Amino acid sequence: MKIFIIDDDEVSIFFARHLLLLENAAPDITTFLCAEEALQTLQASAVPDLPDAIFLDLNMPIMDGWEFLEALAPIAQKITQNCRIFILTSSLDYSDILKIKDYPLVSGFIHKPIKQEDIQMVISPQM
Amino acid sequence: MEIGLNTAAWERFIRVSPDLFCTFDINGIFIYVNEASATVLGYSRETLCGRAYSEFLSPEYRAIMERVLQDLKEGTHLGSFENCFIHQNGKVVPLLWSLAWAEEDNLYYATGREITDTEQNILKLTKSEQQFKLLFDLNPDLIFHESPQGLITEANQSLCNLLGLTSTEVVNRPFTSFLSPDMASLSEQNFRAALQGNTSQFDLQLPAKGGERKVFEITRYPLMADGQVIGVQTIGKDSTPLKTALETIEDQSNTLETIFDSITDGFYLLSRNWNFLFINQKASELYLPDKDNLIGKNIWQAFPAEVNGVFYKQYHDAFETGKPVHFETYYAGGDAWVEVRAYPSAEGLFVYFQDITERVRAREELEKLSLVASHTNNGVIITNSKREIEWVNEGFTRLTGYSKEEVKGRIPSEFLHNPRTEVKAFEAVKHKMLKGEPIAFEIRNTRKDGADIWLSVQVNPIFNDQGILEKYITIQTDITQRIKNQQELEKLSLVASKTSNGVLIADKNWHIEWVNNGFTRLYGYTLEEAIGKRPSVLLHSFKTDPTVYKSLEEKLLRGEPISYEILNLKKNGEEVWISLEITAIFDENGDIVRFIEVETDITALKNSELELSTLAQDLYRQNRDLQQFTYIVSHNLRAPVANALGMAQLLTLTDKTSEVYDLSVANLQKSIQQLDIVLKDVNAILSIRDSQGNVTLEKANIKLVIQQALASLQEPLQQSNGEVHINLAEDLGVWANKAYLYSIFYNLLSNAIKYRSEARPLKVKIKSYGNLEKGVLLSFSDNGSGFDLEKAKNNIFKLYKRFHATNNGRGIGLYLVKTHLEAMGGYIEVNSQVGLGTRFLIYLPNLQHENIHH
Repeated sequence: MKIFIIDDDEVSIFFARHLLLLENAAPDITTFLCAEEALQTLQASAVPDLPDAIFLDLNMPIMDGWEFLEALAPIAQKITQNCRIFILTSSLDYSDILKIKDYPLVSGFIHKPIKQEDIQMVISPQM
Repeated sequence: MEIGLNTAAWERFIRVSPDLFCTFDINGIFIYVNEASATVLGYSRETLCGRAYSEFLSPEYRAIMERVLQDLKEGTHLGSFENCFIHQNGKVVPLLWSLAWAEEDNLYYATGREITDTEQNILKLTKSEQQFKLLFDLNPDLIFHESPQGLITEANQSLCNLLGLTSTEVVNRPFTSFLSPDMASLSEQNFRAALQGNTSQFDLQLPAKGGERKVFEITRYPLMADGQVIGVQTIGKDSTPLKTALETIEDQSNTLETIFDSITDGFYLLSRNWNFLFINQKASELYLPDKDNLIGKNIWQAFPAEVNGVFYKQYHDAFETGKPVHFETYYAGGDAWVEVRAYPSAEGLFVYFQDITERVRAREELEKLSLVASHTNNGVIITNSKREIEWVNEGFTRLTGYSKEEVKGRIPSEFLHNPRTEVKAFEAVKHKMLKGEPIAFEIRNTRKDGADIWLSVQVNPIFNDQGILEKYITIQTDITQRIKNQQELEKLSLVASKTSNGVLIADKNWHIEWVNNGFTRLYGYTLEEAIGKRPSVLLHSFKTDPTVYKSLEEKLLRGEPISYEILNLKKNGEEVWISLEITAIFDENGDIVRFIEVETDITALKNSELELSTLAQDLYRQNRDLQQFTYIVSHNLRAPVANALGMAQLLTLTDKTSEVYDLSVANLQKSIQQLDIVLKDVNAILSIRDSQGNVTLEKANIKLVIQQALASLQEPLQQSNGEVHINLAEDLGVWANKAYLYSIFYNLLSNAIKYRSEARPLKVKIKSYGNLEKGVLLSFSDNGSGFDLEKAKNNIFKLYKRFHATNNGRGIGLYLVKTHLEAMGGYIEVNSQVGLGTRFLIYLPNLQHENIHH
């Protein structure tokens, strides 16, 4: 299983990565501190190289999670073939949860800190 | 004895002689000349000797002289003759010569004697004197000479005969002594003119013997000799008979002229062949100003425009029929109407005329008036002095329903008044009318059909030329509508006066007709002060919004009542919020006659409304702040908490000796520190928020505050090799909270250092755009990395928004800058370009001793 983590918070990445490792969910984890870098990687990737799942933080400088999703829209078809995107945020703002309805690319909304059952849900076969 | 005289004696004789002694040769050259030459010719003997006599001889005598000398030589001349020499002074000197030829000496011997004018002319005079004497003495005209002193030197027989005096009685007396004083002065005047060298002619009356007076035509001229006036000669011809006849005519003519001139009419007399014979003063004043030139001229030649005109025809008529003519016509030459009477006679045509322009104009005016009167909507009645109707116009019939025929001979008040007619108004002025004064009153009359009609009546008496009252002209205007309106207004006022609201009644042009006591209580204006004014002039201030009425006007004009709220001004200048209700009142034709405004003071209501609105705004801001706070809590406060939770969980899952465990502990610490920072931020923000509306301002020196902020950042600034240029006046001050001001500059400087460009050393420039009257405008620019303004524009000053991935900014600096500035009533703007730098514009108002209200 191949997973991307996009988050400007290194502590948050540290935790997610180790929990994923502990759960033996994915040996192949790539982390991005900047959403733009992740975007470029995704744009450049062929369908087989796409990750199976992306954990996306919302509150980031330069390009936040929402902007990332919008930037991804042109290649949405390619992405959906082999990739699911999960919002991973510390936000408790209910408006953020409501907002994911506008983004069909988003497969789920996870509150930080990520929990084991969240990881199980991600690695389980298609919901 | 005689023979005994010696040569010397002869020479002595010759020398003393007054006569010339000379000899000259055959060629005429003087050989000898005696001393007398100096006296007679003006030349010395020495000058003359050796020169030809012909040089000194008057030229006309040269030929004669030559012949005389020739004859003398041949012995055929007597040797005595006259000629003229030229004296050295140019004068001609006549000389009587005695000449002899001496063959033996071959010389002519000559003696010459100077002869005078008188001597020369004696002969001639003697010859002609007798003739003149006769001419002088026997002349039928008066002839006399006077000396320059004015004494008669000679007078002829005619003058002596006229005066009845002898020649000796006349001579040596002044001529004026024979004259009457006025004639003497006339004569004296002409005498002096003659002495000046002028000839004059004038008429002079002379007293003849027997007391008769005769008129003489006098010619007086100077007698000249050698360019000098030596006397005056006068010739007088008797002109008495002619003169007297002329005078008689002139006298008669003057008398006539006086008569004609005193006629107040214009008068002129035309001869039978159309020449002007006389024009009187009035005629000249009126239309014939060039009177003297016209006399003797043909009227039709002088006034060609009138040929075949009215005058032409009438005058010809008069001559042809021999009967007087009388006509009125317009005379274009004088832009006037004239009345002319012309009487033909054997002498010619006597024409009398007068200007009747005013009369004609008055008549025309009257004609026009009656034309107007017959068409006007007003009623017009003409009665005789007994007030019996002679004529009424159509207007009268329309107003009263009575035709001209029905009312003829009746007295208006007798059939127009009815029992309900309030006759007081008429009775009050009736006696004036009967005395002949114009009157005006308003009265309720009855139409023929019994309906009431209110009339405004004006009665004007008309007098004839003798000042006797002849007629009355009465003009009636229908004021029923006005009276009705007035009555309605009174009714309305009665109702309105009871209400405690302000009530204003205005006419259709929005002029106030009436206000009630409530209005006076509301605004302070009394009825008298308000009447005739427009509400907008009386009550509106610059704060009053006139567009509200405009937007509703159409509805009002359609007949619907309108209501709105408006801020008006009381008489004492106080503002008052009014709820207005306006109703338009229409007449039966659907035309607006007036507006009624009911005004209610809603100031208290309005104020609470405004307070409510402020409150709502405050609430909105609070709510917005709250939302922002929720955001902080949900994101920034929650993030380190989530991390801490995660780390804590990880610690339970990992081996204590593993590297992950240690890292987890470190991250846990980091998360908790972060939590602490966020909590501190929240505290800082809340403290600014709390103090809002209660910021203490003091005079702060901007440069000083910037330097304090710089001092705290000295170390990072030096590390980044940065420079700060402050271009501000030393004393540039602003009313501010010093702590806030410090925070603003600290954050801006710290940002500049944090986001500097790696490509170049940091440069920060701070300058002011003058200490404006209203506040201070500062620019704060750096040459740092900049940011994408397009992307960031909505979030730059928001809390926890960051635009740089690499730096560890928290996203609170600019939020604080903005919050602090706003707390002091200022604002901030930003401009930035990636790679070039960022510029902030900071504005702080100059509020003195004043707290900031949001």
